[in-house]
Amino acid sequence: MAKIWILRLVVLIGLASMVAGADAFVFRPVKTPPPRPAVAAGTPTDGHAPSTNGITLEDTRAAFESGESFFVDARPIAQYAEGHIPGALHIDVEMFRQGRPEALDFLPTDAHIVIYCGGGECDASHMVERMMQSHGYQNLKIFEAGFPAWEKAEYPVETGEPTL
Amino acid sequence: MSEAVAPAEPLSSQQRGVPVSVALLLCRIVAGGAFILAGALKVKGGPLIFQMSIEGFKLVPAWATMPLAYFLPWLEILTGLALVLGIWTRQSALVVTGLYVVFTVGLASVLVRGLDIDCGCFGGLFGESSVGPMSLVRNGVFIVLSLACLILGGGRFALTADDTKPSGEVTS
Repeated sequence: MAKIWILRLVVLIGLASMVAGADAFVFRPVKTPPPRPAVAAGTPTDGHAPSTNGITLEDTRAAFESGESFFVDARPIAQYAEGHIPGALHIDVEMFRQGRPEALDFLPTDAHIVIYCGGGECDASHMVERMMQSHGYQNLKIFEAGFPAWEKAEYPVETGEPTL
Repeated sequence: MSEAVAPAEPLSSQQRGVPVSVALLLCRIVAGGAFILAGALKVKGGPLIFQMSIEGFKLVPAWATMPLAYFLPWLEILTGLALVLGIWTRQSALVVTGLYVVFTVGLASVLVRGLDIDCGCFGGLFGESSVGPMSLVRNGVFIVLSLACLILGGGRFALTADDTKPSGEVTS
C-alpha cells in the first residue's frame, strides 16, 4: 500500500513537471534578456544585481531638466499618488501581471527612460526594467536612490492619481 | 505491511460521517481553491514575473529560479485541482501542505531579514503589494486546512477513496 501511496505522489508531481515542461519549451518559452555587462569592481550596487545603467540624483535631475527623458514610477499606486517626479508615468509590476500596461503606449521603445522606486532595498524598478526590456525597451536607466532622494533634495514633486 | 490486518472494506474516507465529510469538503475547496487561484494567476502573469518574485526572496540559486517559475504554478494548479475534487486526496494534500510550509518559511525569512519585496503569492491579488505579517496568518490558515485533509483524508465526498497512510496503517 505504501508503494501505491508514493507512486501516486510521484505521478502527481510528474504530471505537473510535464505540463510545466511543455509550457516552458513549447507554449511560452521566455526570451531571456541579454545579461548585463560586468561592472567594475568596487562599484556600489546597493545590494542589487550589478547594473551599469544606474544613474545618480544629479543625472536624474539633468534628465528631468532636459525634458527629453521619460520617467517611470515603479512604486505602488498609493505612493505614486502621494508624490512623484512631475510627469512620471505610473507603471508597477502588478500592471505587467494583467498583460501589457497601457501606459507603454505613451513610451517609444527607443526613448530615454528613467525608472525609479522607493530607493534602498526596493526591487521594483529593476523588475519593471526587466519587464520593459521584454517588451522591447532598450534605453532604460535606473535612478537607484529613488524618490526619497529626489524629495529630500527638494526637487519638484507632483501629487495625484495617474491620469491614464 | 499491514495488509494482512486490513479490513475487507478499507475505504476509510468514504466511511466518515456526513458532518466531518462536509467539513473536509470545505477544507479541500478553500485550501485547494486558493492553490488553483494562486497558480492560475502566476501562469497568467507569465513566468518572467514569477521568476523575479522568486529572486526577490534571495533563497534560491539563480539557475533554479526559471525552472521553478514554470514548475510551481502548474504544480499548484494540479494539486489544488486534485485536492478540491478529492482525487488522491492525501497525496495532493501532502504536496499542498508541503508547499504552503515552504512558502511560509520563505515569507517568514523575508520578514525577519526585513526585505521589502513583492510577495508574488496570489499574483498580486488582494492588493498585497509586499510581504507582511498578514501573508503569514493567511498561510497559517491554509496550512491547518490542508493538514486536516492530509490527516483525515478527503471524506465521503472525495472522488477517490484513500485507504491508508504512507505507513500502510489502516485509518479509521
